[in-house]
Amino acid sequence: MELYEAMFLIENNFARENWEKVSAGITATITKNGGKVEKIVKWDERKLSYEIKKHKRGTYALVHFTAPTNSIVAMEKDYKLTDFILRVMILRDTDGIEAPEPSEATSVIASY
Amino acid sequence: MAYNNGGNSYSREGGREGRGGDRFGSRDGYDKGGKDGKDKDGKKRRRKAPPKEVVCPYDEKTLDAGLDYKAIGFISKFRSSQGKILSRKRTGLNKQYQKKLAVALKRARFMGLLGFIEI
Repeated sequence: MELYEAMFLIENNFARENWEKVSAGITATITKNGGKVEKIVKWDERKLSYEIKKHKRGTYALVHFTAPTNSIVAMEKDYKLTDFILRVMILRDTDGIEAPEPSEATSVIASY
Repeated sequence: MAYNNGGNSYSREGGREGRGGDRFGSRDGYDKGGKDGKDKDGKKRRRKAPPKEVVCPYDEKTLDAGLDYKAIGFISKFRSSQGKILSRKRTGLNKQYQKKLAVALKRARFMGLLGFIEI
């Protein structure tokens, strides 16, 4: 079991109206593959730098979870088939589950 | 310095003793072809200024926390106006941090947080 960090790009309208379904859907796939969700947050809602699947805006979800290493490929496959998920990136988490808020992350430069 | 040609600033450097005495000395790297600091085409040759050494203004703690794809504001500082990743010469980062930076920027691009090109 390893700690992973995943970022999801979710269709904006769907995320705004039923966020519960989004988090439930993400969690279901992880648990189905033998993992455990540690933390799930709505990270940001922003304009995309370029169009992704015809969408100009999107909502980001940041998920920290533990899962067996060999289950990640299956998870990615599942997420790619999910309608409301536009893009997904799963990474091995090295810096813990305390993720900076988007506003905080941007303000790192403000002090310089 | 008795034979200092007017306008040839190079002849003052390097301790060369005039133009007449040492014939070999007049063919050093700096004034090929001309007597007055100009080359064959008559254009003035200028010695290139040595590149300025850039020292990264951030400490390790900031870099460790900041070189992450989620810290868009911070990693955007290391991009050109076109959105290209700046070279180590321009960022002043060491090899490890430059690699981290490149990875972070590419991840941010993939997630649509930053553009591949900026116009």
